[in-house]
Amino acid sequence: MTPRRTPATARSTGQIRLSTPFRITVLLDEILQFDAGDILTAVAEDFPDLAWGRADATPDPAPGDASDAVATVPCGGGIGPGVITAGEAISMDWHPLFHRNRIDPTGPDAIRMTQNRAHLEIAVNHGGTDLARRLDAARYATAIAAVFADLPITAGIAIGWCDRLMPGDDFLRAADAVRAGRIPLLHWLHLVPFRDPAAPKLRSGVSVGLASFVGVEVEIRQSPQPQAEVLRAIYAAAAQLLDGNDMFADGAEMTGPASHGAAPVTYRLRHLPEGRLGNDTDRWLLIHPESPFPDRKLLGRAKAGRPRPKDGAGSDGRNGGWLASRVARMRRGPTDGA
Amino acid sequence: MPHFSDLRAARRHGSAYHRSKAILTMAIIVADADRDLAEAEVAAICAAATTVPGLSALPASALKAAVEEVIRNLQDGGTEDVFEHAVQHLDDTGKIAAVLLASQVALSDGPVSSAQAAVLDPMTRRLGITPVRQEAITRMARHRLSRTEAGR
Repeated sequence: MTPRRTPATARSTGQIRLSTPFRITVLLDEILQFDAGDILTAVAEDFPDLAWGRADATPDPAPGDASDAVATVPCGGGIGPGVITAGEAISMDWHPLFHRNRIDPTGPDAIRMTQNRAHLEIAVNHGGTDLARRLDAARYATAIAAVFADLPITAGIAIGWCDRLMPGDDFLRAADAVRAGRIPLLHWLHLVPFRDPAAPKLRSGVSVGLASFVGVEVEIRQSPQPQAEVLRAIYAAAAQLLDGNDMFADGAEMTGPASHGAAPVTYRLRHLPEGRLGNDTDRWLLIHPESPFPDRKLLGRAKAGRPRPKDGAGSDGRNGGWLASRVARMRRGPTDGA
Repeated sequence: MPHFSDLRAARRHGSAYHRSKAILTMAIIVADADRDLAEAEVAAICAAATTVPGLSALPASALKAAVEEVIRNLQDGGTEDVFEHAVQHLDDTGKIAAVLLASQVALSDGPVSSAQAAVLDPMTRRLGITPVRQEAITRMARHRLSRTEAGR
């Protein structure tokens, strides 16, 4: 039986994510004074390799501007500008966010965040359709937020597109990666383990935030692997997608990252359309060979599987797979690694 | 209300930044004594500060942040409180640097005006610097200014 498809909407959540500006929120202990010139000087000092526009390119919004923007930071390359808006204290149910971000809700970091008295939101629009521009917009958003992150009155930083919440010092590691020309994948994505009620003893996990860059998330369901291995495989696949890999296809196979001398796992890839299993965006499912997940029953036959590359084709001949070799290459290159 | 540039410079340069604000305080009070500080005066104080021992190691952005923060504090808190706070951050070398910079600023557009002397002299006394020593510092300031003029 082929499951009934969710009716196509005019604009999917994935498409909406792709067109949404990259937003980062800075939680503050108290209200902060600044103007765009201060921020532009700071980002130019801290991120000299990013192109920044002239201070007069985007004048500060007039008082009472309907947008509530307090400053704009001109970015280079047609990105942005970075728009900074200021607001009052953020009050919300913090506990789910703390739990998800492994922040002790009774610890000093959490207490400081909950007691914030003001916040700033930095939003950078990519203004384009390609992955490179989205990555650039996220870089600029990270750079602008980073100049606030190490202020003594900064209580925490929330990265909007991936539901990450962290102290300012932690966020600065993402800024270091951007400064070094790497993708701070571990900060820009959230790898979230979860239990699938259909197989609660097996491990599942999903990425959060990848859809803002490529329109899809990566998920593993009902895997017999340890949780860390599940998240590592999701990380590796996400890194592939951010690297512009176009080999993801329904029914294709991919070899996961090598693991402590054990043979790498070959996953089957299935395309999980938005809404099919309650998922809010399209996902690539990585299915472990020993997983009982009934993908055929739920998703039907794979539409257009691609043959796994033959040995030597896209493989380094040692770790047995193109994904593993790509991952190894990326660990040396563009991402910030684990 | 904290200001971004002040917090950033304090985070970056720590005690050196706090000391720079203390040194700059006296010069700004003197400059403000007989004229309202405009952007040109602020720039002139920053330029003079870059040659003063103890301030020359700080980047221009930090010096500008320090000047702007002192001006804000003067507007919010008043001269007496701001000067008293500055004194607490000045060691003996810093006190001489503060009087030297204040003298340079006062002399930059001619002889020290009576309005400027009326704040410069008592502040110098409160730093424990005698009139004789102040005169020597003033000569040094004049010499540094003439050297700067000659270099232009």
